[in-house]
Amino acid sequence: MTSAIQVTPRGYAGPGVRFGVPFLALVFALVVGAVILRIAGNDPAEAYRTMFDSSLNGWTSITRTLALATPLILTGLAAAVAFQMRVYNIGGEGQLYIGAIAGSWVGLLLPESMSAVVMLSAMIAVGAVAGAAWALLAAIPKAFFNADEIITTLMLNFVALSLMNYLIFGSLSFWRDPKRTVPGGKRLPDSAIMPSLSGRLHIGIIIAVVAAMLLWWLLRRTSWGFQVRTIGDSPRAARYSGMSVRLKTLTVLGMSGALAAIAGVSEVSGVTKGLEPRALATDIGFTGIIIAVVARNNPLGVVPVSVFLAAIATSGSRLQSIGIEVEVVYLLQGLIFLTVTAGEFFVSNRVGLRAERRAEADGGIPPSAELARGVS
Amino acid sequence: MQRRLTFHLRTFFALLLGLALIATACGSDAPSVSVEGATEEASETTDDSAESADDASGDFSDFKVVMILDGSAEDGGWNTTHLRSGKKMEANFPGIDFSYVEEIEPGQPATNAFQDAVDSGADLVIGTTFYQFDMIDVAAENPDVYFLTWAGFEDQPNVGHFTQATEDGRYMDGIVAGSLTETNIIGYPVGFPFDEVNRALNAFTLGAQEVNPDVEVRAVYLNTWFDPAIEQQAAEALANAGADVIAHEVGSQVYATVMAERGGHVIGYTNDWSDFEPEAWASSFLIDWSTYYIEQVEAIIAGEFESGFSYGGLAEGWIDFAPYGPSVTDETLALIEERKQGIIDGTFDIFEGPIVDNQGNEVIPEGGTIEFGDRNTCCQWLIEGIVGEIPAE
Amino acid sequence: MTTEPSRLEVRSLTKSFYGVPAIDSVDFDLRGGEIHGLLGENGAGKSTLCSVLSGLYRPDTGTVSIDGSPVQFRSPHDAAQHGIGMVYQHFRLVDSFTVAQNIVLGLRRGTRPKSIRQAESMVGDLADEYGLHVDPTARIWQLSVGEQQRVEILKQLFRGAQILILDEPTAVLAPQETDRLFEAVSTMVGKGHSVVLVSHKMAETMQYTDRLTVLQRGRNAGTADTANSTPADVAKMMFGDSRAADRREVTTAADVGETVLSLSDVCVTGDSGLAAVTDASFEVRRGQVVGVAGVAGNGQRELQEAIAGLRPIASGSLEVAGTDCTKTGPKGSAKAGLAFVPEDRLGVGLAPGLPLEHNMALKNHDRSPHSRFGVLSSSAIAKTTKRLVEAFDVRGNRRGMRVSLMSGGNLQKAILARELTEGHDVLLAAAPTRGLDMAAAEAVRAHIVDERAAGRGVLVFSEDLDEIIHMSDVVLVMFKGQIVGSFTRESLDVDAVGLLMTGSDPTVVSPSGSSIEIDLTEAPDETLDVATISTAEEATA
Repeated sequence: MTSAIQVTPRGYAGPGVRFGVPFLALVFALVVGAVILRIAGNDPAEAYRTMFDSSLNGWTSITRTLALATPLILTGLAAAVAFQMRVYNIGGEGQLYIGAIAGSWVGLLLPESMSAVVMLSAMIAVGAVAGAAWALLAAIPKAFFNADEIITTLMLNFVALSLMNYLIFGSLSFWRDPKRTVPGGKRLPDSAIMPSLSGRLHIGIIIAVVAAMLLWWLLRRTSWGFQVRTIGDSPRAARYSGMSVRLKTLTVLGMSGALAAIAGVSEVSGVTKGLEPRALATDIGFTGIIIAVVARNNPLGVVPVSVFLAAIATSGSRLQSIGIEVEVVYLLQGLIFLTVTAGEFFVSNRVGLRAERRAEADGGIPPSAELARGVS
Repeated sequence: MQRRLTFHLRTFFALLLGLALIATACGSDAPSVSVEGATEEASETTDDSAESADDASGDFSDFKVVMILDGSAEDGGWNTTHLRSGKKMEANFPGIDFSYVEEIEPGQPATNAFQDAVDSGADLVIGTTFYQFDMIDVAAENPDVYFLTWAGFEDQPNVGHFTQATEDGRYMDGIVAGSLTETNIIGYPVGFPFDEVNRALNAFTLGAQEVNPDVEVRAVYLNTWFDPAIEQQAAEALANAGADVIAHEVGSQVYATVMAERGGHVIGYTNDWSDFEPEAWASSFLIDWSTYYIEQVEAIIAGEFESGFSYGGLAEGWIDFAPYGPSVTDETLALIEERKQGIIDGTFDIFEGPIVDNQGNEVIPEGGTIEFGDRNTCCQWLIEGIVGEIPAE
Repeated sequence: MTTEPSRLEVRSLTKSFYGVPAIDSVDFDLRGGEIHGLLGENGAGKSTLCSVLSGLYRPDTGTVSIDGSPVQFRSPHDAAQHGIGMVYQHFRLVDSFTVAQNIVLGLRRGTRPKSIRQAESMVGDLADEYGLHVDPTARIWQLSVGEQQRVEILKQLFRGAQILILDEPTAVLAPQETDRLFEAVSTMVGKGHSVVLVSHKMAETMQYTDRLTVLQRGRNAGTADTANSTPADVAKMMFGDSRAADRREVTTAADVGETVLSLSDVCVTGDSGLAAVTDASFEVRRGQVVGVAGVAGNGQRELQEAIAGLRPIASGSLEVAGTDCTKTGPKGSAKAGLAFVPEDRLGVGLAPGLPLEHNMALKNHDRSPHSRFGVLSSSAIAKTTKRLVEAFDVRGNRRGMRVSLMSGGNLQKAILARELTEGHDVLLAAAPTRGLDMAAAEAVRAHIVDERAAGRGVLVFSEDLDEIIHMSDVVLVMFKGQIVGSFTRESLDVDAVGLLMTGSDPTVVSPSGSSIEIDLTEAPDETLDVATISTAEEATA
């Protein structure tokens, strides 16, 4: 072992690195993508032009990208707030369903004549509370018995999905439209539908962006957020300084569940306009986890990452329609997203070869452990 | 984190810049490429395409059809059936521009796919699953484009809905099952309970009872669309309970495997799987939407499109059958032919009263029936002879 | 025993990490068929020496010879080929595998038994031969700790190890298991194997070894025949005796005042569920530095955590500046007036991934001026940070930088800065200078001594006996969870402290010329004696 690849965190990244690396990553992804497209027998220039046209070229395309990004921002925030404290809420998907169920319940229950402001506020509030309560089913065992939240939140996804399927397919529930031959949810009244801003883009995007800013403020500018960040960095340091890890576990998971549930309300009210299990169960909650990881759990980072992901994803059917196989479409989308986000790694870390001497010292016990014991 | 934030925003803008540069480069240098007519210019010709196709005889190159599939085109089931029907339609109109996009989930992706189809210059967009609410706004915004959607119900001048009369096929499958069973127990695992499923189950049981009045159909609601593990358990449980014929309705091939092991028989659902475990294979009805698609394209070109609901079975040519298995006797085949003919010429009615449900209530009185056009709203009951209940509130 | 040739010969061995020598020109000889004790404090270089001998580290300079011919190990596998086997304190076994599977695991083709049956019978024979009884078909998780250790030893014997290095083998064993271990060890020696016994327990070293070598600060402080040595001699070799006495004069005594920290009969349970601290009782007064000496792992950490409120006190009571803090948790202890500099700077004292500003506000972020109605004031936090950084000369911070990138000395100064500017009456400092360079360590000690001068109480834990003696007015000794000795400045006897730290009884081998009175109290644990020096209580009164 004379040399090895060594990764050291950069204290700082200069502007050259910060701008250059992502740009090079994008160029790299596009070049590799072009090779793949060529091999598959497609025209790369046309493919990229189609991607750009359908996601970012012109106001119509932008609204559609933003509409797709709306629930992703919210589930991304849900994951980010929990991950910030190293509580791994994998249950965003199920919490989204619960939000959709609770939100549509309010929308169908309250009189149609009610003002949209009151109606939508009630739907969001009840949805958020229901999502938080659902998340607490995992948070309470975590806080009091240290039950692994990864398992519990994951399992609760299946419970929530079964519940939603039962309400529409398995029973003549309050949500189900009895007149429909193929089971589906009752239509929400107009007052319970999120007003459109432009085309398919509804006010959910404003809610999502405000939520991102609010969450950023909570985490960065309040003593609650101070404690959450401390616990996330070092639970022992947090305990040492007298913080209650238990209480934060409950509040953080509750907040995470509420955010995912608001994504559910936004989808059911702004997009499906009724409880439609198949249109709601499209992995928006799981995608939020990826977004949070890429955004390094920064609420304000979640917004551009979600938009970027949505921009890539929204071109799917148009790429198919110019004759690109669906598998190649997925490959291309995945390649661009992964390469550009992986570029982040090179921004925050310096990668190079390390000298032989260090390699030897690192043979088994890390030398730092020896050093920490004094001159050993 | 302040630093990281600025980084993210900058990354994002750098990306935008990068994409913009590339797009500009493509826009200026790229030769104008046209694959299947998916270019901006095509959409501008949409408006007069219908008229120009009107007087064209034998050349339909101005007419564009886009089909939107919710799963893989090669799923061997639902989407394959739709695509096969679409290709039959394509063959019927020389030069017609037919294309499809696959794996489009309901919700926002579906809405975008419908919009993309319209933007690419489509004259007709076919949605093959329950896309009603995903396409209805797009349809309203594009009155010159026609839309067909499976199992839809909301009327709009440029939208047609369609559902197939599964009962016509399922009755014949029931005859096969009733004549094959020796234990008089037939297993019938289904997905979620709803009208169409219950209707098919009732028709199936009526068919089985015609040849074997003592037959008992055990219905099991699995509450899943596709889950081989659960389906395997259900298949084994039914076999252990004595079922020697299983007619399935959800997804996988485990039923054929289990029945082949036990020397029983399997009846498929809209799939020709006669090559898989051929000894166990008995029958399956198939769906063919091509007659409907062809009629609608003709009507649009002739300017005679009528919106609304279409329901079709044997008489309309929507229902077909896979090859029967070796164990199905000629006697049974003769009876099936007779019943098929009876349905086509109107002399045989599957739902002729009296019919009693398995709770003991008379659901169709002596001399009554369910009119063909109303059948798609049936049934919230299961007939006598079915062991099982509709899970409900 | 005296004229036997050396099996293993080490000459002028040096190994440095980042320029700091961990072992420095060490000579060491191991004879055939002997048990050789290797003693030294934590950080004296024992584990570095063993790691070099077992092929884990390559030395900077110096030679290792086996049976007279020089060897160079490039890997642990290499060392094993030369007949050196190491048994680590923490076992390296696969829990779900059987004993035989673990033993043959990693053997190369050719040396591996043909089948698992064959392996099982070979392992069984070997176990019988050495008296290391263990069922070859049992799975590791089914075995007791002692049995697992036997598996580790068998693993080395199976590989043909002639020289066995046992790294603190008794640390994890119950007394009966210890006896069985040494029976097996003497069988091995009888068959011509040589054994290096790494330990810091005086009693077992004196009882079982033929010769012993003491390492002190990376150097060989002497090798002796065990039969000709007394525990006092060995303790002197381990801890030295002159330097501490010279430096004691440097500190100034302040007026001793009221009690600010008082423990009575405090018992604390460790992570394993067993008692980690038993009946600890002592006081710290204003103007007084109380130092707790002891080898690491004797309950110091648990005691610190209990005082800071991080670990529940099972029985007994704790008072901080007159307030009962037995059950009030970390916030309660801090509020009552306890400042705590923990052993782990990064991870407990500081959140490593967060910036200095955040860490400076760790304990008072939720109070004015740092926050109002739950909303933080960044400017107030920045202002506090600036003040603390200047007052305690914390260097190397850049705005927004994670603190883990700062040096150890600056981290410790940062913690002191935060802890010592809140209103507090008593400082609890654990291993405050560990890993620091000389200048930083001096600066930290100066701050601690300033605390005494300012009339506050200080309780300091350290494994560095010199440091304890240098700073403390009262020295307590901890061993196996108990306070086994208490000395005032006047009564202090370094040799006695050293003996108590290693679990020996200073009254049996009395330090020469010592005039202090020693009371023997009855020992709750039959394996050790507890000595209390009665003058301690009076001197502090």
